[in-house]
Amino acid sequence: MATPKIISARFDEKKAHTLEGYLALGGYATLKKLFKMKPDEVIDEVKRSGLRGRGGAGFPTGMKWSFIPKNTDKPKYLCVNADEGEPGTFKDRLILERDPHALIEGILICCHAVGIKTAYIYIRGEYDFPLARLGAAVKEAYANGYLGKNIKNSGVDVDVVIHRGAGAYICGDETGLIESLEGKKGQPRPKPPFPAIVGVFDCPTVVNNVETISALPWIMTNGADAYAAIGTEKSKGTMLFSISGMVERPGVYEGAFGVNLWKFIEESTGGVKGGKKLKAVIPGGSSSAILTAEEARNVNLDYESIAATGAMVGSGAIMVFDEDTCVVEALEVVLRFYAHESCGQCPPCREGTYWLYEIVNRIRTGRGRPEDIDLMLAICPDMLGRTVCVLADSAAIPAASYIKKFRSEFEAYIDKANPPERKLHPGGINFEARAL
Amino acid sequence: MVTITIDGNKIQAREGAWLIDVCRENGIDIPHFCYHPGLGPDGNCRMCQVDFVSPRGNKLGISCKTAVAEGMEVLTQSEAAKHARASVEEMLLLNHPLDCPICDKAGECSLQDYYMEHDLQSSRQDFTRFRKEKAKDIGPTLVLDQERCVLCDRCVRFLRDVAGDAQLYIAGRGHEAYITTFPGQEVTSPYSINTVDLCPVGALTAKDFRFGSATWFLKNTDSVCTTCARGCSMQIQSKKDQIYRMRPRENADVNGYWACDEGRLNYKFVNENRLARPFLRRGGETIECSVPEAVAEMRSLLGFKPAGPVDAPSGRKGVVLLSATATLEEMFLFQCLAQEILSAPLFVARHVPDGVDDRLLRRADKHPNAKGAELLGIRLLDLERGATAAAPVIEALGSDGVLIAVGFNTDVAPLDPIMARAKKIVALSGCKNALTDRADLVVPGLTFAEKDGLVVNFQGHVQQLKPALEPAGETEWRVVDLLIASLLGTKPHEFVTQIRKAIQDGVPAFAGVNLTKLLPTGARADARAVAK
Repeated sequence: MATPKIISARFDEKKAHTLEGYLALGGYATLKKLFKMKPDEVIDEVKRSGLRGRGGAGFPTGMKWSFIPKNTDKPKYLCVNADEGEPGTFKDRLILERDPHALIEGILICCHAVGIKTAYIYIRGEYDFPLARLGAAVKEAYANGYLGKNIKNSGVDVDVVIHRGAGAYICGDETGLIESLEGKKGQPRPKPPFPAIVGVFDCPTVVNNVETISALPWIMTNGADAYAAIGTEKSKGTMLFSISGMVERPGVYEGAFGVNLWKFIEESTGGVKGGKKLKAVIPGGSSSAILTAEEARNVNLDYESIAATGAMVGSGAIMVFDEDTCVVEALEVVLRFYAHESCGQCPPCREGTYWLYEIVNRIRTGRGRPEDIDLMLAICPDMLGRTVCVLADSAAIPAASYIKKFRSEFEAYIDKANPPERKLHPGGINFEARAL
Repeated sequence: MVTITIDGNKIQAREGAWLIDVCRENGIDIPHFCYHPGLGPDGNCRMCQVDFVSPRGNKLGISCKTAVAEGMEVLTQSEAAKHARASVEEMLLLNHPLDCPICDKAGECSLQDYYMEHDLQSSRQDFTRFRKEKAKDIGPTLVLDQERCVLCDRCVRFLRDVAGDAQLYIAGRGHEAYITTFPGQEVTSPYSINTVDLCPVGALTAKDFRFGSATWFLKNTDSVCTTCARGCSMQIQSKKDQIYRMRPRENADVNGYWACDEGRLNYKFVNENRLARPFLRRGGETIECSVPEAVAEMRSLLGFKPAGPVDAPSGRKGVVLLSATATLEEMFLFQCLAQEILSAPLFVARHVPDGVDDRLLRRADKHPNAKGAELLGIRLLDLERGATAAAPVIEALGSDGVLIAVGFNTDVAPLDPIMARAKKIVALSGCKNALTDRADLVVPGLTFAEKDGLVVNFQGHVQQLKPALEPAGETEWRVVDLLIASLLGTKPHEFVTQIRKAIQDGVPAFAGVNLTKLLPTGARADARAVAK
């Protein structure tokens, strides 16, 4: 079966980002049907489709919506998480640049289902061009009655506010995002209470990823059953995968769940660059555990199969390491990122991420000690599940898995008699020049 | 109410209460940094992790921001919980400067205590420790050491949420985060030193106490602040008859957990300008005397024969003027003297309330016991500087009246017009001042730090001052008791509790209060009498 194109269907259409182009391709057609449906029917439809959050955690979307209290005096809000920050992820950017009206249409579906009148789009601060395209689309939608009061005479009001982030990874966490949106320092909140009960401005809030929302128009048009027919029993539908690293044609590829991971990568991108040997694959962004070449060849691409290996589908950021990629350097990059992006609330994260970075930096620069490897492995469990959000886990999980699966590479750096040959890829990061 | 199980014991708890509070109420102290009963939980420090038992396996979680629910089962001392807390302690110590030997907080530092409780390991961190700013002057009262800070956010939350002045915040993020003031500003809150008490480590220190004493040498005395009509419960910390620090005691009825800076620092006068022995002035000459001699002198100034019981006053007219800082016992005994023996007018004087009534603690009335005078039925005078409020006293003094002035230690300027009209003055004062310079007989009194006495705050809450220091002289109530006994020919009282019993029996407002055995947090006087 050919991979159906659900999210990326209009990516190659030159005019899809304009209202005219979007309408020509059948956009906003589902609104008529939508506004005739009762909100609960919409929620049921999304529940039946099996759509799961595409931001990283993979939580069932319909269920998330149903947590919003029905009888509340407070206004309810939707936050669209467009703070795409997970290293290796660049899929939401394409939606924002090439198909922004699909996101707006999805917002209308969610707002109608949950009874929301105001939706915030929290967009990553570095996304200049996506912001320009999204802003233009929102403007057009307002001008043509797809947003604002009484949308297309349905009696439904939806306002969209675009809020630009300031470049903090932690604001991609849903409660970190909410704090930032409220004008505070972006620091995740302890849960419970969950945003569904106490979210933006202490009101019930749905936080959904751009891709999740953008999948809704297709589901409403083609029906939940058509969506649920794709994929596996628990991982339904398709997902955008940002494939990067040492492959022939890196890029964003839409794939249905349930196919073999390496086969999918090979078919989409043409395999490892320059015919080199595959060393490892990170399946779901920098916070995921790493898969060895053998694991990557034998695992299926769906939430459950990947989770069984200890890794995760996450935000669908697949990174491919060839035989020349140094795992120690890769881990240093990852840990430096998390040490830099920790918000600093919880000691295990604030101190732990930096501690791990210091040790791996010491190993990589030839100052490592034999006991360092076990020390890192001892620190990691003390960071897992001990903090307000999962940033500490995001550093500890890859650290532990890189070391466990490629221990000999770390040992080689410590063995002073036989230091490893430095093979920096072109464009490799110069660590010394960019001190943390 | 719900039933939960903590370490195997079934416990009844209010539904929705924080688990850490329930544990505390049941005698289990869960280590914590960010939580404080007066601020509530924040959930950032991760120190209060405990083990939640569930059929799917135990799970660690914080106890401060977890509400208890029916059937909850918790292990506070499981290996996993202890290890989780030890690892948080280790993380906090990674970049801690370990300058305990010169740290004011040493001895009362949570980081130290929890290290002894949980960790007791050498550091596994062997990198250069992170350097941040030390000894940073952040305002008139505080010094900040950013290296010692554990970023628990208590000081930030207190200033923002309780004191209502957001003057500190956490800048930066990750391991580079630090507490600081807003650019170009200082911490000027009148409640700033509470942040020093709140600081679980030595990051915030008070300029007043900095390098003053190792905390374990200090003797603690539970007493009351006498700076304003709130009467915050205080702990006086002293060493070798010197006060080093005053800190609020928890008292839900009066001050919660807090005290203002003004009250805390209002102890300097205790060690300044003190009078040592009674003396009298005769023709420009001062003659030192004993307390019994002073009592005899008082008798003769009032026109009585020097010794023996008397029937009625003769000759000069006496006027008794007490400061509203005097204790309830002093007011009560002087009331007996004035009304039952001398038939003399009696006033309690205070300055016109010129402070501020703020929404937290501070009161405009800067006297601790004006309400006590009111409840005893004594006329209260608001003295202004050089104005007519003193007229009733001046009128009562007439042309040759004797003024008995009690408890005026500092700031006696408002008494000037009265002093000018008094023929003779007897002063019972703790400190040397214009009044004692002019008085014909001076009997040194005591300050709040040396006294055992009761004060009644503006809400009618009675609390007990307890002596933290060796008294410098005879306490006021005993001097007046000696005078009364000598005039009546009776035996003087032995204990202050006898006076308290008499107040309890004789004054309706205190009828329901056991004045002789007050709790450390005090007791409320009769509400109807207070409301009058």
